[in-house]
Formats: sequence, structure tokens, C-alpha cells
Amino acid sequence: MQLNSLKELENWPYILKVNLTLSISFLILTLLFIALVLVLRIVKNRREAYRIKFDVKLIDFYNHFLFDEDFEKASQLGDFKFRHLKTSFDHKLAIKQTLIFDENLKGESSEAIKELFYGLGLYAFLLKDLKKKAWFKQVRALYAFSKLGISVPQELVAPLIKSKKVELRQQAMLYFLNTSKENPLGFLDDLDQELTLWQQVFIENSLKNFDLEVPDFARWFNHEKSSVVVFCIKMVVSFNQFQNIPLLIEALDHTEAAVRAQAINSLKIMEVPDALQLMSANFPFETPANKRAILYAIERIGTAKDLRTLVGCISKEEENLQIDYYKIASSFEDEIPVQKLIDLDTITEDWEEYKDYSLRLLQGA
Amino acid sequence: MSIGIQEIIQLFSILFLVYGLIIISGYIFSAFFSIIEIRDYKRKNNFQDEVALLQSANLPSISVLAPAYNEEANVVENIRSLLTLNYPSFEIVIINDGSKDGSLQKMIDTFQLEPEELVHYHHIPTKKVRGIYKSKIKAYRNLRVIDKENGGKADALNTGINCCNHDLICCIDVDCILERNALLKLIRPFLNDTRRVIASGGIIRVANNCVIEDGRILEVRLPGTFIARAQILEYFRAFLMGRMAWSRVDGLLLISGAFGMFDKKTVIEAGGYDHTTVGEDMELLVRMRRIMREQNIPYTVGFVPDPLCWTEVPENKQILMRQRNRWARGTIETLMKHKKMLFNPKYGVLGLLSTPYWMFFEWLAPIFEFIGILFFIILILFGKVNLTVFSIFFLVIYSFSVLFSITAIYFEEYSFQQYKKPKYMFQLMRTALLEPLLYHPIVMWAAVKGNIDLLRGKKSWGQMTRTGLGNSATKK
Repeated sequence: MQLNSLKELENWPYILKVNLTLSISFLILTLLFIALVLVLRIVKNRREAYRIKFDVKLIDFYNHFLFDEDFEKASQLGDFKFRHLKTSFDHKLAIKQTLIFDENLKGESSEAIKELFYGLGLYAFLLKDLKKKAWFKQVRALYAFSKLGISVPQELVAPLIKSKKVELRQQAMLYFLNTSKENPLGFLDDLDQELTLWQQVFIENSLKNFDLEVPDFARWFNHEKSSVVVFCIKMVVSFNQFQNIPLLIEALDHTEAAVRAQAINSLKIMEVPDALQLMSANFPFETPANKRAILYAIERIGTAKDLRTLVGCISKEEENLQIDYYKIASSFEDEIPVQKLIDLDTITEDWEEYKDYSLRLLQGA
Repeated sequence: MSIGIQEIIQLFSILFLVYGLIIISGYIFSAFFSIIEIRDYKRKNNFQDEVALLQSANLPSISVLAPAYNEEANVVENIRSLLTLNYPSFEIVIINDGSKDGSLQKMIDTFQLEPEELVHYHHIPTKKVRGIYKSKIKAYRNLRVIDKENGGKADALNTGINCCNHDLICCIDVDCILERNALLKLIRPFLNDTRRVIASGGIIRVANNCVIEDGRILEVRLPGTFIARAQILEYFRAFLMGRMAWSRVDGLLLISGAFGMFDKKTVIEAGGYDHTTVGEDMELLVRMRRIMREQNIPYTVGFVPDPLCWTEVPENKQILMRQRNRWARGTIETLMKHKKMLFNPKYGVLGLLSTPYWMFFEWLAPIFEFIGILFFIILILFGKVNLTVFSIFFLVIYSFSVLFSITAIYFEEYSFQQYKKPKYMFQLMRTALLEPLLYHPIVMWAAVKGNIDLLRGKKSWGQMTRTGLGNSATKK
């Protein structure tokens, strides 16, 4: 195996040949990646420098367009579009700037911004994106349309509400909400997938900024997706729809535990003591989490007596509930003297004795 | 004899080549999946408005659990930093794990803590809780301090789980620096999935030499020492390439103990952190995933690639070796405890990909390497080393190591570009050239030593001295 010169390469064992080939490939790839790192750094820096310059131009132009009365809007708009909006990156920067201006300005200026948006060809640019298959381009287009409240042909957006891509579904929902004139949550009727918490937060946020009348959330209390029902029960609280309290009480008997949990929580926040009777009646049949929620609802809107009526429904094995009971009983101070009876380290062992004592007190009360 | 050695050399060479090819293929796949995941993450997060999240009253509340043991020097500053996190509803739970220094008294004095009712759940058995404290000051009303008997990090976290109020827990190292929006970002996987999300983890970054003020990173700098810079490359590879790829195929087995969010209910169902292992963070996630899989509950584990948590890495060889020794023992202990999952199709990606990867790449790789070195020494002793053969074998390993690190630097440039100055980029490339020669042998030996220590029954964490990440803005 004496290998003294490259001429003998052909006689090398295959393992050496394979290794040598791999080494050379790795070295070439290393050089390629070093070059890529350098190019990426240069490209990013250049783009950033270009962005800063272009933003200055855009801001200057937008300011003149919006606030300079002597500005020849029609001709300047065409001129700016022709001279500056050449690449996709230019369009993206212009869209971003338009959204920033729109967020900061209201009233007449907002209408002028829309004029800019159409005049600079940004509408056409985004509409083209919306028609493409790439989900992230569709999301970007919907985001801009939704923020600016600009409507696009319904048939382009309607199918997206059922998209498999969660981001696309969300933007489609927000688009319908922000461009709606009378029924901002109409899209919920067509929803065939559960609402994520993330979507719920953004829908709620958009509703808070909604200029027209907020819909009656009770309309979706019978929706087939439980997350939609949960969301609407939450919104009843957020938008103080007290007229829906009887329906919230009905929801305490819902088949889904998550819906019942939200109903308990909403009724607690809205401080509806009338709901306690049904909550207490349901207590023995509830899930551990909902039992806990009922105890804390009693802490907020009930009395020591309400709490004591449940003591018999807490079994010896339910140690966590016993602790919750103890914590809440402590907040009723002297009315429920648990401290004297319960050793916190062995709470379960003392529970039956405490339960008897408490029930005797209740009968005597 | 001569023929025998020749055949052994041949056999070892083939084994080496096959193993090398498996490793290389694994890394190439991981790089491929990572770049797709990073690209998708960037696209998904182009249009997310955090203001809406911050204004929402309907976000789940979070309990941030931070165990502290003998942290007197920095604990107050660290808590102050945690209290300024941006999130609508959270509590900070500091678990004083029987510190022998004045940590507890310092917290009591600074935050005007007073004892509160010693009532808490007993979901997971732990050492005795000596006291629970809450601040009299309104500004610190979301701070709770739990004083308990010393039981180690896992026990402290379990105590925190028993005593905290909320359904999502975020377990952190108290000396880590979190970005202000860290909780808002780490909770995203929990909010944005219709399946049950049991945990989410983030990328850990190296804070050594960064400019820090009031518990915030003001300027990201490259560490001055080679050993810390080499760890930056390691973290790039582990997080930007490794975990991103595993996240893509939903095969994550580890969420760093320094920063991870968990669904408390699932943690409790799994039995909490295991205090008998030194790799409690990995073991918990593996156990949680295993239970979900065995119960056939659809679930997922999220991963957020944003730089959210900054930590101090060891700059001293001995401390680094202790850390890596412990990591090796933790990995083996976890794999041994859950050996049922290995190559078991019942566990899907976890059984067929994740656990075998951890076994071959994380556990056995250093051992094979070490055997390779021993084999090389034997060849020298027998005078069987051919310089050309050696050079080519060495070159292939070296060139691949450098390639992998350079690819990781490219991923960093493509994704977050935290090291803004061009000189940092060149320093990192230089480190990538030297790392396989000067740094890798140290961590390899530490891992081998971890195997030996485990066989000898060593269970301790080993002393981990840190210099601290206090204010450094004035040191500019």
C-alpha cells in the first residue's frame, strides 16, 4: 500500500477514492457556503441601505400627496409610479409605507391613502399575488386589503376561509371582518374548522376596532364547532351583552365541557349569582376542571353557604378540590372554620371528618 | 499476523465509512428540513401584530418557574428583569432550593416579601416547603417566592408546579436573560394549533461578552475566548439546524431546561420532573411524548426559532467538561429509561427517527470517535499507519466538520443575523476552521468520561461556576 504519487491514484482502494471524492466535495461546498454567507451579507446590507433611501422618497412623496394642496396629484402619481416602482421589492416597500400611513391617519386622509394605493398600482400588484398559489403571497395580499379595508372580488377570498393553511384562514377571516359593512362575523357560518386561540385573539382585536355595530354573539351559540361557541361566550363578556345572560346560563348544560367551562367563567366575570343554583346542581357531574371553576365562581359571586352546600360533593380522593375548597373557604374568613380541622399536609385524611362537621353546621344554619 | 491486521484495518475502514455516511446523510437531511422550517417561520411571522396579543384579556395566564440555588449575587437583578416581561397575565415563581447563602433574605428585603398561607397542591411529591412568600408592594404582586428544603433542580421545579396558579408553566434558569417578548413568542404554538400542544421551546443564545443593562441585551457581541465562540457555533448547529429540523418532523426530544413552556396538566399526568436523572429536561419531554403516544392523544410540541433566551456558557475548560459530562449522562439515562421506544414503530417518528438519532449521534458518536482514536494509536504502535491513508481519512472528517459549521453560519445569516459586525462573521468562520482540532476533542472526551462516570454510578451535577451576566453597558 505504498502510495507515493497521484499517478497511482487509479490503483487506490475504493474506500480511499470515495473518501477523497467526499473530501473534495466538502471543501468545494464549504467554499460555496462561505461565498453564500458573504453574498447574503452584502445583499442584505444593500437592501437595507436601499430600503432606507426608498422609504425617505416614499414618505416625502406621501406627505406631499396627502398634505400639499398645490401638489399635482394625478401627474405626480403616474410619474412616481413610472420612475420608482420598478421591482417587486419597491412595491412591497410602498405597501408597507401605505399601511403605516393608514394606521396613523383617519378620515379624509384615509381616503387619500386609498387613492394612493390604487394610483401606484399597489392594488393590482396585490390582486395578482392573491391569485397566485403561494400561500404567503396570498396572506400578504389579504393582510394589506384587510388593514386598508379594501374589497376584492368575493370569489377570490371565500374559498380561503376553508384553506388548510391556518395563517391563510386567519387572514381571510380578518379580511371579511374588516371589510364588512353589516355582518362582520358572517364568515363564522361557513367555518368548518375549529378556531384557534390565536385566531380568536385577532378577531377580538379587530372587533374592538370595528366602527359599526358589533353583532349579537348569541347567534353562534349553537355553532357545530365548540371553539366558535366558546369564543362567542367570551365575547358576550368582552362586549357586555347582558341580554345574553339567560343563554349563558343555558350553556351550563352544554354537552361540551369546554363550552360549560367558558360559560362558568363568563357568568363569574359578569357577576350573575342567579347562575349559581344550576352550577351547584351540576357540580357532582362536572369534570375536575369545571368543578374547580365553579368553586372559584362561588368565591367571587357566592356566599359561604353556597360553598358549604358543595362540601358533600367533594370526595375523599379529590385532594386538589379539597385544597381549592380550603383556599376559598379561607377567603370567607370566619364563616367556614376549616383551619381548625384540616391539617394541610394530610388534607385528604381529615376530609371526611371535616365534611361531616361542615354538613352538620349547614343543617343547623 | 500481518494479514490479520490488514483485514482488521479493512473491516474498520468499511465500518468507519458506513457510519460516516449515515452521519453525513443525517446532517444533510437535518440541514434541508431546517432551512424549510426557518423559511416557513419567517413567512408566517411577517404579518403578526403583537399589540393585539398584548391587549387581549383572553390569553392564557403563565406561571414562570425559576429555581434558585445560592444565587445571592444576581437573584434580585434577575427577578427585576423577569418582572418586566411583556405579557398580559403572568406570575413569577422563584423557588429557593434550600440555598445556603443569603438569597432568600435578600429577596425578602428587596421585594418586601411576607409569608402567605402555606397551602398548595400535592400533584407531585417533593421535599418539604418551608414557606411561601408574596410581596406587600403592588408593583410586585405577580411575584411569589417559595422556600423549600434542598432537593435539586428537578425537585425545585416540581415544587413550583405544585404551588403555581396557572395552567401554562414556563421553566427557566434564573440567571438567563429573556427577551421582553419571550413569553408572547413562546406561547404562539399553544395558541395556534387545534391539537393539544404539550410543550414549546425556543433557541438559546450565548450572552458572554454581550452588552447587558438591567437584564436586557443591548448589543450582541462575540465572546473574547475561543472556547465560548466554539460554543456559539455549536448552538447554531444544535438549534438552527438540529432542533428546527426535528420540529419540522415533529420529532423534538429536548426542550432546553433554560427556557421552555409546558402544559401543566400534561406535566402532572406524566409525573413531573424526574429528580433521579441529571438530564431532567430531556427526560420529561420524552416521558410526556411517550404517554401521549401510548394514550393515542393527538398532540404536538412547538419550537420557536427567534432568539428569546440568552445564557452564559462556560469559558473554562474544566467547567465545560463538567457540563458536557452531565449532558452525556443525562442523554444516556433518558435513552435507557425509554429504551422501549427505540426502533419501535408504535412511537412513530420518535421511535424510528428521534431516539435512534439520539442514540447514534449523541450517545454513541463520541464513543466511536474515541475508539477510532485508540485504533489509530494501535496502528501507530504496529507501524501500520500510512500517511496518505491517514491524511485522506482526516481530511474527509475535517472538511465535513467545517462544512457543517459554515452551513450553520449561513443559516444564522439567513435567519436572524444577530452578529451584525462583519468582523464577527469572519471570526466565526475562523473558529469553524479551528473548532474540530482544538475544541471538539475536549467535548468528545467529556462525553466519553460521562459514559465512564455513569457506569461508575456518578449521579451528581458537578459544580457549575458562572461569572454572572450583570450590567456590562458601563464596561464598554
